[in-house]
Formats: sequence, structure tokens, C-alpha cells
Amino acid sequence: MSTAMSYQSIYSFVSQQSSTISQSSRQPLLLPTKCLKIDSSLCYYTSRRKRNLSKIETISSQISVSYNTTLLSPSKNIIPDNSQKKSSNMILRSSSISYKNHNWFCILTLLFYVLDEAALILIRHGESLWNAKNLFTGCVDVPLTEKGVEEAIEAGKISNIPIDVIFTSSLIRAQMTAVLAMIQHRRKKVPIILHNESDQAKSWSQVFSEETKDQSVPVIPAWQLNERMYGELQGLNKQETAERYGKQQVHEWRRSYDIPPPKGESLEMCAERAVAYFEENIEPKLAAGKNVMIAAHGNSLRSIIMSLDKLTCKEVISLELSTGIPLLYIFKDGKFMKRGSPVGPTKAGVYAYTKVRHRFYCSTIFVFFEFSVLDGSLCLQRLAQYRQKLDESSEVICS
Amino acid sequence: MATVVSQQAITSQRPSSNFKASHFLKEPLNVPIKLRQKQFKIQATASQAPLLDPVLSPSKTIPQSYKKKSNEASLILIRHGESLWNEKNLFTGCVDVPLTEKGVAEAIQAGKRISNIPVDLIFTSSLIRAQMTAMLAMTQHRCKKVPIILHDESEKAQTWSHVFSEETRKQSIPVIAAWQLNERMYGELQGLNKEETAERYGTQQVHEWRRSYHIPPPKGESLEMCAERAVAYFEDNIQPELAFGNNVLIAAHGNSLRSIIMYLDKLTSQEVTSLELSTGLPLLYIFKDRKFMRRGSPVGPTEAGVYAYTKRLAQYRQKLDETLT
Repeated sequence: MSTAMSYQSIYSFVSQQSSTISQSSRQPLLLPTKCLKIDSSLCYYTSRRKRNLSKIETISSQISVSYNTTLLSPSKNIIPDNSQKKSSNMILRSSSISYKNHNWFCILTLLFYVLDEAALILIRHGESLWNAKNLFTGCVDVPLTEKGVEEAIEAGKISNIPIDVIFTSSLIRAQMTAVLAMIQHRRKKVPIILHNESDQAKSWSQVFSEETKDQSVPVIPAWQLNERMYGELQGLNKQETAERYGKQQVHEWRRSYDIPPPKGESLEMCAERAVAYFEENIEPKLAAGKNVMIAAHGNSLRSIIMSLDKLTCKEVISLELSTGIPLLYIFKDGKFMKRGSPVGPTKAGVYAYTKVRHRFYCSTIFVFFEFSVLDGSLCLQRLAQYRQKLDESSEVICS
Repeated sequence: MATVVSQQAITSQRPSSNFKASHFLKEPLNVPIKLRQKQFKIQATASQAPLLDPVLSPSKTIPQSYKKKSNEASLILIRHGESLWNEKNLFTGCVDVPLTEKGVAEAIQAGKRISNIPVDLIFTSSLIRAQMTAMLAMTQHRCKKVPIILHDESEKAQTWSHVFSEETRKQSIPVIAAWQLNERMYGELQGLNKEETAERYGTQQVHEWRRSYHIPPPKGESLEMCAERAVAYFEDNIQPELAFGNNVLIAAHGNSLRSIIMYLDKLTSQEVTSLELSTGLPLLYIFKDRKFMRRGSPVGPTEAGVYAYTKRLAQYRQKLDETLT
């Protein structure tokens, strides 16, 4: 990708309990958070301070982690009770808590957190049977190959990023990618495909248990996220078509912005419907704080990325999306920030951020904290090592 | 091998109540059909009628020829494997819950077992666990044809999924998704934990709902109601294909398949309530002379087993062996 940077982040999700508690309580709460020492060579703070923040320190060389909490003054953005957002502000107070008091931390699962950000994950489906045969697919509903199935399962290793709702296209290769990826998700929520093609379909697929609904992630299929319709080229062999129409012409259809193949869509037309759908249906969810995953196709995702990254027509034409590799964006204050591709849980990766606000999720054994690093930019080196150490120490403490 | 035949007014009176606009199905591919409004050129090949009709190209092909492809057809029934709610022991019914990893493995395993049996047409329910089972099973099939799901939810969906290459169409297997093959609708029990429900309503009552023939759970379907829609769909849409000689695979659910088996094997309602279908184990039937003969479950490709199939199937397998090795 032309503008890709090697950003990666660790995310873990907040336990169910903490979100329910956050709903019920709007009081500032004292709560301990983990402190991470920032590698001094890389960290810096911006001068803008709208809120006080916890210092994040990562102890890169030690296994044990000391817990500190920081006092934050209430933010200006107190979220009203009737807000649709799940979050509310919290106040953190600094104190040292021994690492051994894991019971205390269990209680701390009942914390609530500031949630004014949402994660957006984009996944392009893997190899389909016609990709393997080198045929133009477009909107023909062709399923995945074994390799495509593996790619989908592999993509699911984003198991630490919370997902509240999934959007896919109406084609099975995208839907399969979404559900196969979710098999790997640590949260163990069950994706359920919503049916609204008829009244009967709606009423027949109703779930009658609140508890079960809480453990479900709705999957919304939408034709607007379908692959670009390739018109009369659908089903044709790529070489044959080049012979029939000429390489130049085919290249023009495939790579221009506004020239459609006969009876098909141009990238512009595809972008029109995909981005419109995104703005009307997906962005409001993100604005409400819901974490969204979109499993779709090369062209529909390119169109969306064009809108997120504000690319020009020329830039989007040369944008190539890898298959089966999830892309992470953070939505905050109406803006999208690209975060690259999350690594799998067993890989150590490089973590480098630029001067942006972001939210830092820190995972522990029993408890998932979430706290905002608002003031300042944070460059976290060896975050992956830190996380590994957490995993190691969690094995020690776990009873 | 195509001859163009002028349009004929062969019609079959299909009860219109079986067709709902939103679930409009492609006419069975090779049987007399209702007269259509548009002007179509009819193409019929001597040996094999084209399998994909309006989806492929609106200007071609409504096969009108009633000439059979073959006297015999195979019918494979596969019940999908473990779903995420099976694992959690929740009543699923028509809630569209996907497969677990184990369910995925079961589907692939089932695919290996049917890898030598011809498949011309696939019917599934509208739920993703059955569709995935079919797709995953077909990745194992030796014929290497590509299953393509037909979309008929709207005009646009139909137009957009057209295939414009004759050669590609020949290498494709149409997949038709039908809600009538869905699992039995479990009404107010959907999403409930099986133990909880037993506590709430009593084990006796729950057992009655689950295993009786006539008694539906609240706002749900009884097995009888499920059988009604599933068998009606089978008779109207699937049996004509078999009669023509197309080999069919049905990937569906416990109750819809039980209903169909009740019809195929002429079981009584008592017998069907005690019928249990294994998940992921395909069942083979041969349709010949308007009768269904059960052929058990095909063995895996590496297992030596009694090949109690038909000569036609043995020949098909031989052909695969010759062309692919």
C-alpha cells in the first residue's frame, strides 16, 4: 500500500462485566492501572493537554510489573447518561499495587473506561475458486478454495481486537471469511447472520434469550459491499479477454477509475455505492463506539479506504490490498487513523506510533484494562515483548 | 452440440403459492416450465441440457426439451456439522449460526467421501452453516467444478451475478439456497439453553416438543410443519431434476433432511421421530424408475469397501480416475 506504515498495536478487549458496569455508573472511579515505562529514547509528550493522563511506563527489561494508578481530572467531555456511547469518563488515581494482589484486580474487572474510540477492521477475502482459475469473478458468487479458507482462519488471529458488529457483502466468500475469522476470536462471541430478506426470514431468525444475544455479534450482509460488478467479463478467462479485446483495453477497464467494462461498473461506480453505504450504516456504529469488522472484496474495500485515507483517484488505482490480512483503523473524533495490520498473538512486532491520540489496551490475565493515552504521543518500543511478558507472568499468577 | 428450438408452450401448472417473490427460484433446469413473458431462444443439447439458465444470460436458454439426460440420478444428503450453538448447547432452529472448527472439518471429511460421486446441482438451506458445508465439501470433489450460488433476491442480484462464458458455465455447479430446507423453526426456544429450558418448562414438555411429530414449541414449527414445507419443496424442485437425470446434493439440517428421508423411505411419523441423522456423514440415494433406493454412506476414497453402487457410478469414478491421474 502506497501510504502504509508499519504500525502495529496490541489490543485486548474489555470484559463484558466492565462494560455493563460502565453503563450503570457515571461516577469517577478510582482505579489502578498498569503503568508502563516508556522507552525514554522514543517517548515524547505533546504540549496540548485537554486531559491529564496516566503515565505509561513499560518495564521492558523486567518480568514483573508494578501497578500504578494515576489521577486524572475529569475530562471536559463528560458523556451524558443518555449518550449512546458505552463509555464514561473515569478518574484514575495513582497508587502502587502489588502484583501479587490478583484478587484485587479481579474486582477491577468492574471498571469502566473512556470509550470515545472505535476500532475498524477491514479484511479482504482470500483465494476463491475463480481466482485460482484466473477468471474474472466480479459479483458471481464463487466460494473460497482451501487456501482461501486457511487465509480466513489465519486472519482470525486478530483475536485481541474487540468486535461488536460485522458487515459483509452478500457473497459467500466474504461471509465465510468473516465467520471463519471469528472462530479464532478469543472473546468467543458467536457471529449471527441477520436475515431481512422477508418478514418470515426476520421472524424465523429471532433469538429469545437476552444472555445469548449478549454473547452474539450481529453479521449484516449488504450487496453494497459486493465486489465491483464486472459486466460481460464475468466468467471470462483473463488471457482470453486480453486476446479478444486487446490488452490495452482490458488494462483500462481493470485499472482506470471511471471506465466500466461493458455492462459493468467502473471503480467510481463501485466506490459510490460502497462509500455511501459505509457513511450511512457503518460510520454511525463507529461513532457510537462499536467496534466494526468489514469482510469484503478488493474493490469495495479500496473504495472505502479511499474515503478513509482521502486518497485521490490516481492513488486508489495503484492501491493493492493483500488478501486475508486484516487492516486496522481507529475512529476517533470523526477521523480515521490507520494502524496497519495487527500481528498474530504469538508474534513480536515493532510498535511505533506517530503523534496521534490513541487508546491503549492492556491485557492482563484476569482483567482487561482500558485507559486512554490522550495527552501525548506515545512511541512504545518493545510493546510486543511487554505483552509477551504479561502472558508469561499470567501463567505464573493464574490459579 | 446445441440446437436452437423455437419456443414451445409447454407449461406446467405450479401452484403459485409456492413461489414468493423474494424467494423466487430458478425454474428446474431441465423440465417443463411455466411459460415466461420474455422471448427466449431455447437451446437443447442432445446429450446434456445447459444447467444454468436465466442467471447466465437473459437472452438464452430455457431448456424446454424434456429429453432425459439419464435414467438414473444420484441424490446425496449431508447434514451439516457442529455449529457454534451446538457446542454451547443452545437451541438453534433458524438462527443463522456458523460452524465451529470441528464443523468445518466434518464438512471437509464429508466432501472426501463424496469426491467420486457426480454432482450436477446443489440445494442448500438459506443458513450459512449448510451453505458452508456444501462449499467446503465441494472443495474436495475430484471433478473440480466450481459451485456458484444463484442469487434471486432481486432483479439486480440476478443481473449482477450473470456468467458470460459458456465454457465457464459448463465447469460450474449451480447452488440453490432455499429457506424451505431450513432447520425446523424452534420458536421461543431459539437461543435458550437446553438445560434452562428443561428447568423452565419441565423435561417432559421439552422432550415432547423436540421429539413429537405434531406438537410445536411456542411460536415454532412442529416436525410435521417442517416436513410439509421441506417435502413440498423437494417434490416441486428437486425431484424433477432427478427425474431428468441431474445428480443432486442437498446440504441441510437435521429436521429438514429427516422430513425428506421420511418421504424417500416412506416412513411413518413414529419411525421418523426416532430417526437420527449423523452429522457430516453423507447419505446416498439412487433415483431410478421413479423410485428411491438407499445406498448408505459412501466410504472415504482410501477405504476399501463394498462398492454397492450402480454401474453408472462406477463408470463415472473410472472416468475421473482416467482423466485425473
